[in-house]
Order: sequence, then C-alpha cells, then structure tokens
Amino acid sequence: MRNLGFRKSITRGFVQLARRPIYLIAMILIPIATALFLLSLMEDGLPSRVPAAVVDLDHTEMSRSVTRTLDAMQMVNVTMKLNSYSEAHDAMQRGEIFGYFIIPEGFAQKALSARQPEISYYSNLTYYVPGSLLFKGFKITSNLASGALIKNVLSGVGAPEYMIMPAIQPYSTHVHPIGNPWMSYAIYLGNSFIPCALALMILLVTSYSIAIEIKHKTSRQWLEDANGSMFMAVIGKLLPQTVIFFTVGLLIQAMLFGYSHFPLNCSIWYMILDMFLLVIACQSFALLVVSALPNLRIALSVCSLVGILSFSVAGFSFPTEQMYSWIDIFSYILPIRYYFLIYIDQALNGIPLFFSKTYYAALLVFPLISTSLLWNLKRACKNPVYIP
Amino acid sequence: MSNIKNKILTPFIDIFMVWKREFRNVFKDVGVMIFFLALPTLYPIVYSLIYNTELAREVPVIVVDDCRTEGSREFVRNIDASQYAHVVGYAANMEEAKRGMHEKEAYGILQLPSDFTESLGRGVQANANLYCDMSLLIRYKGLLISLTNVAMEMGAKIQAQKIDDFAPSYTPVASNPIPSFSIFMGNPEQGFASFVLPGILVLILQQSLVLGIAFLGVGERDRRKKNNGYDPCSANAGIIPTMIGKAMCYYTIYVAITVYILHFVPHFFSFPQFGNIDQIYTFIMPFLFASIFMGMVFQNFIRQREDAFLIIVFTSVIFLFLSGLTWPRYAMNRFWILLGDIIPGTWGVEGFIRMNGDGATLEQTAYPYTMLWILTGAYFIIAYACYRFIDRRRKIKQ
Repeated sequence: MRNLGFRKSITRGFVQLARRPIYLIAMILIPIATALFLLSLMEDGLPSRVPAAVVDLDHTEMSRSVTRTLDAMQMVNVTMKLNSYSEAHDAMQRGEIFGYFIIPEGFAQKALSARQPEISYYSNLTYYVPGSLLFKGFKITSNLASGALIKNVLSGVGAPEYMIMPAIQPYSTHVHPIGNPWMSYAIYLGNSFIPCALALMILLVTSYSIAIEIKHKTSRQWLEDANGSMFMAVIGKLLPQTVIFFTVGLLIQAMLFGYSHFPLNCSIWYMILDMFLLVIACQSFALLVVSALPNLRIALSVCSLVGILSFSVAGFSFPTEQMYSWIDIFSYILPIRYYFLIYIDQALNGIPLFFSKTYYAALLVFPLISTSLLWNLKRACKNPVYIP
Repeated sequence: MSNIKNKILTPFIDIFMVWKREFRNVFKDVGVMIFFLALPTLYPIVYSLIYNTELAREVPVIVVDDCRTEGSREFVRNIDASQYAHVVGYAANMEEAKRGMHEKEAYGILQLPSDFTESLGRGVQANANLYCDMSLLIRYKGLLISLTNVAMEMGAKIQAQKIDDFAPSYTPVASNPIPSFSIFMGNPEQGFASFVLPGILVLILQQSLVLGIAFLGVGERDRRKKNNGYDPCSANAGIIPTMIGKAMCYYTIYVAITVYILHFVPHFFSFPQFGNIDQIYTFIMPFLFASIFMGMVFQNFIRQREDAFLIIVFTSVIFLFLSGLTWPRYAMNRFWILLGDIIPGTWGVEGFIRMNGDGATLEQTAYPYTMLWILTGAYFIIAYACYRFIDRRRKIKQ
C-alpha cells in the first residue's frame, strides 16, 4: 500500500470505534445479549403444558376418564375444573387459561346408547402458539374418546382384537418433520431472529459511523486521511467493523450450532461463509443507503425501517409466497433473506450445495454494487451540511 | 388572599405553559415528527399489508404414489382439494420427489405405499407418509391439517362399514359416535395477521413515544449546552409541572394516534375487534403515560440524538418477545417474567389483546390495568429523580 492512505484510514476506523462506548455496545453487546435472551427464553423448545380448564357437566366415570386423558397430554395442563361455560369463558378472558373443554350433561349415558353426545372445545387463538397446541390436545382427546367408545362397542360384540384398530382408524398417518423433529420453536426462531438482529445492528452501525462524519463536519478530514479516495476512506472505516461483526457472527453461530446443538447438517464452513457474506452484504446495503441519502437521520431512519421490517418481510414465520406479490419482491433485496434460505438448505435440510448457489451469489451482488453511489457520498463529504 | 390563590394556581398555569411550549417544540422538530406521526401512521399499514393474506393456503406438495389404484388416487385428490395443500405433481420415486423439494417446487412429500388400498380390503391399517420441510412451521401445519382431515373423513366411511358388520345397532352413529366441535376464540379465521398485529400495534405506540421523547430530550440538552444552561424553548417551570405539562402534551397528540392505530387500522384490515372501544381507550391511558415517563427516563441515557436509533430500535424485538405474544409468559423463566413486568408494552399488549380479541371487559383486565398505573407512578418517580439530579449538577456548574 504505497501512500494510498490505507494505514491512516484504517487506524482512523479503529480509533472511531474505540472512542465512544456506543459502538461496542451496538456491535457486540446488543447482538450477543439478544442471542442470549432468545435462546434462554425458548430453552424448552415448545411452551408445553398450556393452562386449560375442563368443564365436566356429566360427573361420571367415563367423563372423568376423558379429563384424565386430557391432562395426561404433554401440551395440556388442566389447571381448573369449572362448573359452567360462563365460568370458563370468564377465566379465559381474564387470561388464566388459554382454552377450555366441555363435556356435556348425560355424556356417558348418551354415548353408550348411541345418541351422539357432543363435546365442545374452545381454544384462544389470540395467542397463536399456546392456542394451537391446546387445540391439538383437545382434538386428540376427543378423537380418543370416540375411539375408546367404538373399541368398547366392538369388543362388546366379540370382534377380534386385531380388527379393532383398523376399524377405528383405517388410515394411519405418519408425519416425518425433516430436520426439526422436535418442532422446537427455539431452533426455528433462533436461527432466523438472532442473525436478523445482528443484521439490523450492522445496518445501523454502518450508516451511523459514516454519516456521523458528515454531521460533525469531520468528513473532509476523513477523506483527506485517505488521500482523497472515497473508496479507501470507506474501506478504512468499514474493515475494522467487518472484523468485529464477523467475530460476533461466529460467536452467535457457536451458540446456535455448538452450545444449543441446533441442527447442522452441512459442513460448518458453509454456514461460516454464509455469515461472512451476510456481514459484508449488510454493510454494503447500508453503504448504498447512506451514499444515496447522506444525512445521518434519514439514513438511520431508512436502515431502521428496513432492519425492523426484515423480521417480517424476510419470511421467517409467514411464507413470502403467501404475501402480496409486490411485498414478496421487497424480500429479495434483503441480505438476511438469503442468509436464511442458505441456512434452511444447508444447516437444516443438508441438501447438496448446488441448490443454494444462487443464494450465495445473491449475497455477493451486494458488495459488488455497493460502490456504485460513492460519488454522491463523496460530494456530501466534501460539503457537509447537518440538518438537525 | 390573592397570594394563596396564586400559590394554588401557579403550578396549573405552569403546566399549561409547558404543555403549550412543548407542542411548539414537537411540531418544529422534523426528527420528532417522524417518530410521533410518520412512524405510527405508516408502520401499522405496512405490517398489515405484509401479513394481510393471513393463512398459508395451498402449500405445494409432491406425491409419490407407489400404489396407483383408484383408492390411492382418491386419497390424493382429496388432499389436493383441501384448503391448505396443493398437489404440484407426481414423482416416480422418493429420489425424484426429494429433488423437487430441493428445487423448492414443494415443501412436502406425500408417499403412499404399494399396499395402501389393499390393506383396507384386508382389514389392516393403510399407511400414509408425509415428509415435511420444517423451515416454516406454518407450512408444516397446513400440510399436517390437510392430511389428518382427509384421513379422518375417508376413514369415517370405512369405519361405519366395519361397524355395520359387527354391531348393526350402532351403525347410524358409527362414523361419529362422539361428535365434537371446535371454536377458535379471538381469531376465528386462525389468521396470522389477526394474531400478531394487535400486539405489534400496541408496541408501535410505546416505541414511537420513547424514540420521539428521547429525541426531544437530547434536543433540549443541546440547546442548553449552547446557551450556558438556559433553554430558550422551555417554559421555565419547576421539574414536576414541566414533567406533567410535557406528558400532557404527548398524551394529547397520542389520543388521536391511538384512535387511528387501535380502532381504524384493525377496522381497515378487518382484524377481530370484539372489545368495547371506550373501555380500550380507558385501558390505554395509563399505558401511554407509563410509556411517556419511561421515555423520559431513557432520554437521560442518550448522548446524541441519533444514538437513539442504535440503542432503542432493537428493543422492539426484545419487548415483543417479553410481552408473551409469541412465547407465552407462563413458559418463561422468572427473570424474563420480571423484566417483562417492568415494560409497559407487556401489560399493554396483554390487556389490549384480551379486550380486543377475547372481548374482555376492563374489570376482567384489572390486573394489567393496575400494573400500568403502578408503572406510570414508578417511571414518574425515576424520571423525576433523573431530572433533579441533572438540574442540580447544572446549577452547581453555573
């Protein structure tokens, strides 16, 4: 590096980060604290034992056995036994339970005399995860009650044992959840939300560290240190951050795949590469934003908007193909989207690398186009204006 | 006499003056306007549009039918006809089907073994295998529901025939001896937007307030720095009248925003609205005040205006999880429950969801409501202590 100002620029980049604690807080503390928070929050994988109530209006041996079956379900915890629908509904509205199961009066008598007693159950889906789990528990219990009854009837008339199960359930379904047989929410949200939080902080810190030079009118000095080369100035500033963010990213991956033993069905190098590309793609994204809009507050507003909406638009929980098509398009400009798709293909499903090639390539596009607007940033750096 | 009158009246006049001044400060400041007006107006719409399709319908699935009989084809037809699954094609074998999944043509494989139909004739169970991609639980859920429903509906007919052979007296009800019906409360459509949006709406109120107040606070500090500890834009009242006056100002602005966010936005996008809207506004009042005073505490920890972005924006994700919307609070450990307890958003989300979705009354949400008033008091006291400390230090400096 002949006198290109590389050494001076990079020293300046490091000094900037060291001078104010906010950089290290935003780059290291926040991403790692978020990772620890989400992993410790969901360490059980699934929020099983959902509080629920049973309203048994029958009070017979048969109805009590249904209640026992329900309570034995892993996802259900019968915390209340109530005497009426209105009591149960009130408890649900108060938030004490997430749903209730009603066994009608005359249940046993009607069931045994083929008069179809009707079981009803209510699950509160304003809380999606516990509500769905409860629904599943309720549904299985009511099916089991039905099955048990038919079994009784059939064995009562002397049907052979081996014919009973096929009669109750002629089609038997076997579901094989690939990669996440535990259906763990920690695996599912940890691998998307934690890198996305890192991506958010990369976007913010990158645009902040560049635009603050313009706000404080130090941008001319910044350019001079790089011998007037905008490119060199940007490299000097961002390279130290790349090192720190990538290290934090590796630490996060160590927490996910190492400490938490989340599925890693590919070579760890594929995911390390994925993380490296995510870091530079996010930096490039922010560089483009701040080059196009060289104003601290506006650039940060745009990066916050993009970073926060990424959690939704990138399709971690709701598939992008189900969104309106013009929103779906937006997901393709987000680096984190490709990181997530590579994670699914490689770490979760372990499919051949060939199928993920376009995602890796897409992440490479960001750094390749990142310098295209540097002329505008340079213009702003030469003539810094801060609008408060 | 007039002296006493003055003593009683002065704080009120001060509060009014601060209130008036602060309005000017808010509307003069572009940054604050972004947080107080642009953010709460636009975010809810963007979020609603993202999730507005609500359900994962027609999840693509590939079929490997090793049986190839009328029975297996009927089974597949029924899967295809169901709301949540869509058969994109048949594959000759599992290898081919897997390749289809790798190329993202489908997110599941339905495999029917060669003895599928024959088993039913022999009186043993017919097996249907579903291999499912687990990248998004909502797709898995859709495929699972389709498969279970088809298996049960088609099974019921066969079950009725079998029972007819053994216990004819039971035949009329055999396909469904114990009928059951399921009600989804609060979210009858089981939609994703209807579940996640109400919580996000409440958090947008809190986060935009905190960001805007942080901006205002640093702006005031900057003005004081420039003018030797004097702020030309303040009304020069005591600490408490200043706090109350400002809080009243933000509250006045946020009444309109609350009506927009909690009433009109759900209305536009037809999200569930089962609550009594007046009671909801009553409930939201301490939530706004608690958020305002929390903002007044936070603003003391921010040195430059734009630092607020770096420090506050990411907390939205943490607060969303702490509220228990995605991961229920009963399944959290004590530490996170405690941390959630001191965030207004936690109680705001819980109360609003129960009132708006489950139709709970204010009396039934008394606990979150009380907690919000306690938080209002607590943050008021902490903010007061912070202001007093800063005020003292400033006077000593002078």
